[in-house]
Amino acid sequence: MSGLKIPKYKEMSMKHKLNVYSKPKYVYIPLISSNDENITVLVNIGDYVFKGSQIGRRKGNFKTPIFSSVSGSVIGFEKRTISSGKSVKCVVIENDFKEKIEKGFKQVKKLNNITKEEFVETIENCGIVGLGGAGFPTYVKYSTHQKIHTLIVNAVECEPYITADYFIIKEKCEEILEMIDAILEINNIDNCIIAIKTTNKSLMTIFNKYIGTYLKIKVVLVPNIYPMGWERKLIKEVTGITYEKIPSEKGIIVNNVSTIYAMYQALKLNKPMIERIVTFSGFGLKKPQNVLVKVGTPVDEVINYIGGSYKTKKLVMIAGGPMMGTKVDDLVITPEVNSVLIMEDDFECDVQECLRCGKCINVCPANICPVLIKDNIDDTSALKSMNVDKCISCGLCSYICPAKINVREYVSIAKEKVGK
Amino acid sequence: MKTIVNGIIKENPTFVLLLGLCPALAVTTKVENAYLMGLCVLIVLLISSLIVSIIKKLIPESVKLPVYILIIGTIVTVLEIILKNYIPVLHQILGIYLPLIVVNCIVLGRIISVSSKEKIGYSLKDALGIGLGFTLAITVIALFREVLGTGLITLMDATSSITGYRAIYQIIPSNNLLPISILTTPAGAFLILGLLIPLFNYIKDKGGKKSELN
Amino acid sequence: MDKIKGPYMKSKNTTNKMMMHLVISLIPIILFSFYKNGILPYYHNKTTLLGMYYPLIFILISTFATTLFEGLYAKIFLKEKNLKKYSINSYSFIPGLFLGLILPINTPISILIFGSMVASILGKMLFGGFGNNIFNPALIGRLFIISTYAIVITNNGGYLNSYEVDTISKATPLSNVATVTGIGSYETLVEPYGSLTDFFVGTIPGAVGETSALLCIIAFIYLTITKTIKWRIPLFYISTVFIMTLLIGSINKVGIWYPLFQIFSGGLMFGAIFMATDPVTSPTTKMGQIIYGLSLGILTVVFRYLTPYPEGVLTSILTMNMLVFIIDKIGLKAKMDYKKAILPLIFLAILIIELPISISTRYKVEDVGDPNFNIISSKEENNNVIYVVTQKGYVGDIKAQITINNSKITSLEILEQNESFYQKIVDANYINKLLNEQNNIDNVDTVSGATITSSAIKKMVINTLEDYGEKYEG
Repeated sequence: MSGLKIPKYKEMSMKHKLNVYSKPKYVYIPLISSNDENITVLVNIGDYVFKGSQIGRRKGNFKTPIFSSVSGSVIGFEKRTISSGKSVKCVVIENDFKEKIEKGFKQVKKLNNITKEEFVETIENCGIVGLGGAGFPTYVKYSTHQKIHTLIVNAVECEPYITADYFIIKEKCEEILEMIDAILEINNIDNCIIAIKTTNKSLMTIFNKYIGTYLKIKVVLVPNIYPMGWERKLIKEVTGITYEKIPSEKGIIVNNVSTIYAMYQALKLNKPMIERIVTFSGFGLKKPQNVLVKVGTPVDEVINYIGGSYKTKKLVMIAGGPMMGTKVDDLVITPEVNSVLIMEDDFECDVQECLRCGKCINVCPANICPVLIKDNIDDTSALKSMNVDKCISCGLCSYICPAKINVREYVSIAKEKVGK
Repeated sequence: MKTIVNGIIKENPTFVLLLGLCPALAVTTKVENAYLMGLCVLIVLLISSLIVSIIKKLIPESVKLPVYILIIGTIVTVLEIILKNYIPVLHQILGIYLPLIVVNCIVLGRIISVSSKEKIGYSLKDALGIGLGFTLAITVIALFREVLGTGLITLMDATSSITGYRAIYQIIPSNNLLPISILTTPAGAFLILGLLIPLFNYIKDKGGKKSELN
Repeated sequence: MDKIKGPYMKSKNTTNKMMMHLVISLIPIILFSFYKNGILPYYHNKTTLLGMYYPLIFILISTFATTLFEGLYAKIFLKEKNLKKYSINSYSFIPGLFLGLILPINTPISILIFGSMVASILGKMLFGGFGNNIFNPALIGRLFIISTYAIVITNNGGYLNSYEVDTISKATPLSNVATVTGIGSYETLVEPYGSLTDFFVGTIPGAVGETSALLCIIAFIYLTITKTIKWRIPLFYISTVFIMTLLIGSINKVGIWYPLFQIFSGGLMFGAIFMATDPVTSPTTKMGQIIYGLSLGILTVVFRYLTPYPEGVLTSILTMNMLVFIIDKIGLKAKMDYKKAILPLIFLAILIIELPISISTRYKVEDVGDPNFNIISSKEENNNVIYVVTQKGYVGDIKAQITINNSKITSLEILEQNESFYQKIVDANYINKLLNEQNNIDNVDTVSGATITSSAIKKMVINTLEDYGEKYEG
């Protein structure tokens, strides 16, 4: 297993304190869940919705609910771009700025008293999904019947520019630890390891303030290599275990630290997935910072709110990190967006002939050979024996290529061909 | 006439059909050896083509191939005996490649595809064309190999005992660069063949395009 | 469907930078070659001022020639409009630079230019240009030149520059190995050229830039730190040759100097570090590179000991270049599952241990007598012993009649020979030289251009004298 040390660019968004943008005039809630647009819509035009009320439910296997992030009236449906670049139908809600909630807060005194079934039901009904970028429904991970012995909390945040997890730990460390302790007890998990990068040692001091009483929770430092935040690589680094399909077959669950905080809010306050911290960064922004935004907020408003971008340069907007993110023209916030980057558009460069230097093979964390896949791109039967489905699209092969060939693109095409 | 030209250019056995490359590489060390070999193949082609196209209706389908080889083998053996007795020096030059004409793809291939199906006149014209094409092709290869490889050109040396005439000319005086001695080795033969085949085909296609436009 | 278009961050390394590192690492080697082949002879008044700069001019001509020919080919056949951009993207100067460094200094300029044309067109452009060639173009050029014009180059002076031709009397170190009996000793293999340090620094005869092992190692360290070359290949290549020659040496009871001598001579260091690691023609996978390096080492040792070719580096690299496609398939399987590489590695390891052992037995046989030497008859007449003997030469057996009187050879008459270059023996008056120096016969040099024939005649004399000594002197 390999990887590469790449530049971080994290200091620029750590300079300012956490900001809040809580008053969007309209929110556009995308009717999509886990790439599935097959959603039952539960509201009509003209209906009044409360903040946190359900407005849609997925029809497929995992019935993830979709919520409104403000209180107000539904005024229509519109197509908006989301983080994958697709244009999906959204429910448009006009904010009445009253922040009315339907049910009262359910103040749960001690989280540890909840049963496992209640736990799973609550996080399912609150629509908690993985906030590290993948958006996988969290309750599915906990519905397993396997005995889980370790919970790994992923606070690595390996992609450059992003500091959302850093800020959530800075602000809410106590609550996160309380939630982890409760998860361990509810699900009968033996211990928990929180993984942070060696370059984030300042987080250690924050953890050490509160971690004394929690004997089952440990903080471990992992090397500053991309993609350390990838599930397989992280588990191998922290515990030395390799698994075939899903981590729970070997008794491990991995959760992102922001997801842990979202679970805390769901269990303690019955608050569904309606807002999150997003990093706004990049050399095109005048004041890069982290902002707490509501789901459905159009990103242009937030950028103007925090100071705007440099109008003199040609800029491009990226949803997600620079390695795995997508170029978009505009965006509405959904739970899996962990950062929005505004960068100068200087990515065009001359592509030369492949040098056959082998650097893409040296660097691939999934142990496949991108350049050989590129050579055999027309021969589907040869591609079948090359393990193309193991590619995680981390982008290191394209990053390191000296001839500036977009090798990752070839592997994506190969994945398509083999998948048919 | 068209058939004959077809055998020389459009279906040239060495440069287009890529048949009979073994003698093309082996006997092309001297120009004289090459055209004499070509002559022998031409004779065998003509005679066997004639015979097969005469008796083609008498040959049963199941023993086609052995009969053809029998015919060709007989002709080659007769030719070999004649050469051994009357022009022994030629027999010595061609060496093993004379009996190998029996299994030369050109002769057998042409008999199977043309002589056994067409009329006598057409088969003869086709055989003449192919034989001439082969002779010209290997003479050109030998020309390049000998001139560039040794600086000499041997037009008549071994058969001087018959004609009493010797013609070996030194075309290029020796200097540092020429002769390129690697061309007299089999490696050089492959090199020259590899460079001549695309050249010939390029000229042939270009000429073909011009006549189409006309 | 998710359409991910490229990461929005690119690393700083580019192909241009890698080629620049390569050229920087070659600069000390070029300067050293300038010193050894230009400044030293000038300092000792063996050549003119132009002759001093000649090595630099030589390398410059070959570099320029490949650029020119590639540009011409691109313009005529590929209809390329922007030639300057094409030349930069195709790095057409690099085969020429290497070609100039691996040829003997006395190669005539016309042959150098013709060889550059062959290298760039036959070796690179016909396969599809940069990134698509199978064989290393500089090696194709050198192979063509050496196999076609070996005699012309030897007549022009061969590998020895104007200073060495006066001070060093023998041929290059590895062609000298063919003339010594048995496995050789420090005195016969190393001392004619200096000491082992001379081999390490590079003040020994050889091609223009191939001799200095020290500078090649420094270049290797620089190129590995800047992540420019595939370092596994030279590492495994040189280690394999070292281990195999160490085994051969220790079976034959020679010291540690023997494997060091073998890896410092014949341009092995230069070939392993610069020619075998050419990125386009070597494997891309890690395990593939390891297998490639090991196979190269085995092939080089086989070519050096079991064939008449003295060096073996050029032919082994070209042979393995053909097999890179298959080696990468093994490397691909090994990347996904470590265990699949075990079988090839075990096979190679067996060869590495077994070949030195069987090669050494050839030397041991010579203890019992030269198998290429045969006494047909010997008879005594008056005070003379007249031998009729045969010794295997270059083409076949050389038959001679040798008359010995009182332990001294009085006449040697060649009865039958079929040697291709026998005229040189006659021109050099070699037989008389041998007879005059028979007491000191090991120090008689072979005739350049007819090394194997003259060495055979020399061995014939030595073997006959030995037999006489055993039979008639008790």
